[in-house]
Amino acid sequence: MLKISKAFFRQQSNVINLSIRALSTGTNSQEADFGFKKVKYEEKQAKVNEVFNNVAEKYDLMNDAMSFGLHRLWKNQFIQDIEPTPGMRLIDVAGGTGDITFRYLNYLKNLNPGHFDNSRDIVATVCDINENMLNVGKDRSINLGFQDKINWKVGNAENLILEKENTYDVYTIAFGIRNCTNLENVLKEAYRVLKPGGRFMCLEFSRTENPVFKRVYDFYSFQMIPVMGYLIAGDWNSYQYLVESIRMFPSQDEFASLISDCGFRLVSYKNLTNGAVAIHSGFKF
Amino acid sequence: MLFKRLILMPRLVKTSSICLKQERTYLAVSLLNNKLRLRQISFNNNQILRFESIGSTGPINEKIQTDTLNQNESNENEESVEEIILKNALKFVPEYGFTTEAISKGAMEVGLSSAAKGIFNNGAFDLIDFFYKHSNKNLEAYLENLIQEGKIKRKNELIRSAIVYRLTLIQPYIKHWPQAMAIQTFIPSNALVSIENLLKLCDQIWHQVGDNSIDINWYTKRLTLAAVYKTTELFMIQDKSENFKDTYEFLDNRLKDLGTFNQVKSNFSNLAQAVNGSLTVLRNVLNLRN
Amino acid sequence: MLGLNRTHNLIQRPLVRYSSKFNYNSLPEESKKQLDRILRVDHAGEYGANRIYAGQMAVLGKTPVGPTIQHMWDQEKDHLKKFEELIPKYRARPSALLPLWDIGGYALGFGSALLGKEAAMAVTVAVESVITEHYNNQLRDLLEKNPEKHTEILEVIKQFRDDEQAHHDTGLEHEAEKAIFYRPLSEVVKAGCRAAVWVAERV
Repeated sequence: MLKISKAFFRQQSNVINLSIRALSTGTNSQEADFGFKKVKYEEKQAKVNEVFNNVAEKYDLMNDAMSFGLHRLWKNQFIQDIEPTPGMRLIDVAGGTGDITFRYLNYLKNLNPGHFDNSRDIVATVCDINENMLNVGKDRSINLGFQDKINWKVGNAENLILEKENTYDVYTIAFGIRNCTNLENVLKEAYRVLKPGGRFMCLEFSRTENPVFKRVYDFYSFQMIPVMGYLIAGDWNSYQYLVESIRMFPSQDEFASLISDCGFRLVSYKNLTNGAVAIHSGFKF
Repeated sequence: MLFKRLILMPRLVKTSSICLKQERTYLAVSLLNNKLRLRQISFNNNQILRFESIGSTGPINEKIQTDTLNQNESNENEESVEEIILKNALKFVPEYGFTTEAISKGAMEVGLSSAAKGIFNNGAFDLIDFFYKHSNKNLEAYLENLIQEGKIKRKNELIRSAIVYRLTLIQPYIKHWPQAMAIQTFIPSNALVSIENLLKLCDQIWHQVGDNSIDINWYTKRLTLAAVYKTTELFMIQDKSENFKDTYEFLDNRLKDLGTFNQVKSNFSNLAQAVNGSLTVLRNVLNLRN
Repeated sequence: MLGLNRTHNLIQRPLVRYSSKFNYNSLPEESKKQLDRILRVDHAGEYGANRIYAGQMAVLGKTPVGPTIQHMWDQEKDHLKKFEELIPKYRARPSALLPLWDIGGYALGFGSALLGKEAAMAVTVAVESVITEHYNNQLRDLLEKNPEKHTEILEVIKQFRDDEQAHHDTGLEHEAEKAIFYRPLSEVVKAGCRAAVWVAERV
């Protein structure tokens, strides 16, 4: 049933590692990673904001183009892993255009259509630092008819001041956590807002072990994605940042240790597409 | 008719993406930390169930220290989280069946979020497996008691009592048991675990009843008992008689058929006899008999 | 025929019920599996050794070396009885291939005795050396973790290992090394024994 990660032990001896810098708390070092560049800690957030301001409109289109539609499968698998039940409250952080939330609500709707349509409760809260992304999401939700089931909030994943503790059953963050300056703060906030027994789910790009796939993937990431970004969305730099930030993110095992250090139990991860994407999961007990 | 019912069952089984369940990699350290202590704390006359983690420094620990008013009244019971959830989930099985819904209701019962059902990768089967093992433990305690009392001394009667008791443990959930049996048998990974559970049950019964066999009898005794138990169980799920008396009659007939679980006399097989015969001839020919 | 000599099947052993609380449930899961394997292979080993000596006695019983073999056989019978007692106690599973060890052992004993007294001793030496080595490995494994939980088994195996070592030395005393093809015969028998041990641990 369980396979214990052997790489956990390898990780212990891996002291000199680029990703350690990504894990260090902001107050100790004055620098943060912005892709392969180094920027001042305080500046990173502003820079990320700028990136997403630029890409908001064409975000969904670019997602489809870059991943050849795979991102839909990844997100479907993500929701399948959660297995929502009626009554489970979701907070989707860095939820932006609402992909995860809409899938969550669709799942609940298919499970029990009558119950779903009749209930008036807020099922999901979408939180994002960028208002443009939220607006795109709001428009989409009206088209789908989910407008009264979702709460849209502007907020910072590292400091969800508007949220009370122990309120949510599921906390999801899909393709958002690598943009955060300090991962530990995000995880601690996640721990705070989740109920006991609640589940933390993170869908994120990760490292691949397969050497053949790695070469293809690297070539595709560095040579083709920025080009596509320029042609479709008119922005080379934002997509260059995207690709670089993926490389700077910690590996599956490192991230899992970090999640565990922040208090989560039964931490596990599942690789999709050869490790290009990983779903990390932890429980609050 | 019995088998038709079983074959139809898989359609009713609510399991999701069984075939696509990919392997999850767990962080070793986080697995070691899953033993929790369940503490009942009185707070303003309201019973609150809170989890205190043993030896962990998670944020929730600090909260409990401030919440606890009366530490002398705490009732400590060291069990793993999974056991606590599944034990409570069994209460909801008559209503929801052996499904992940029952598990999430069980989790909510102990004050956890319903998302805690995600701990169980095999979903409904984890609940069924837990129920099976839990029932086996209950049977062990019951049989122990029975033997201590000393009223029933004959082996056969003890075995009959054991099987009857074990079946009564299933009876409260009999409505959903066909579905549970289907989940156990028709999914290969589950089937292996189920067979192991069944054989462990038989080994347990025989050990308690008293079995000294150290040859082929060890195997025949357990396999025959497993066959009797399994067929009786299958009969029971379609038995509509009052208090399942037809099932017990069926059980008695099966036990009678088998006789009294006699020792199989270890006879020489034909091959062994042939070998011995030829060796004797050889000896005679070489004139070694002196 | 020869089956009549197998008295341990005909005597009704008293029905002993072991309280499930006794010993067994206090053992850690790992220990249970380990003891199950150890008792199975040891029981199968003693059973086989028993039959080897039986085979040898069938040929060499009336010769001068007969009493020596009889003495060793009696000790093996004691060993076997002990394991037959331990298996139900520790809820171990006996080997499913006991008939195979039965025939194989008897044939080995008988065949080697036909080749002469030295060959019989050579086979004894080979088998006993494998068994001693095997018992030493088991002792090492048991002492590694939780030796205090395994005191009884450790005692038993230590005692038996010493006995087998004595048999090995007896065999050497009786001119085992003078057997024809001593080296190859010894190696073949040792390899066969090791393979049998491997199989008995699992089946």
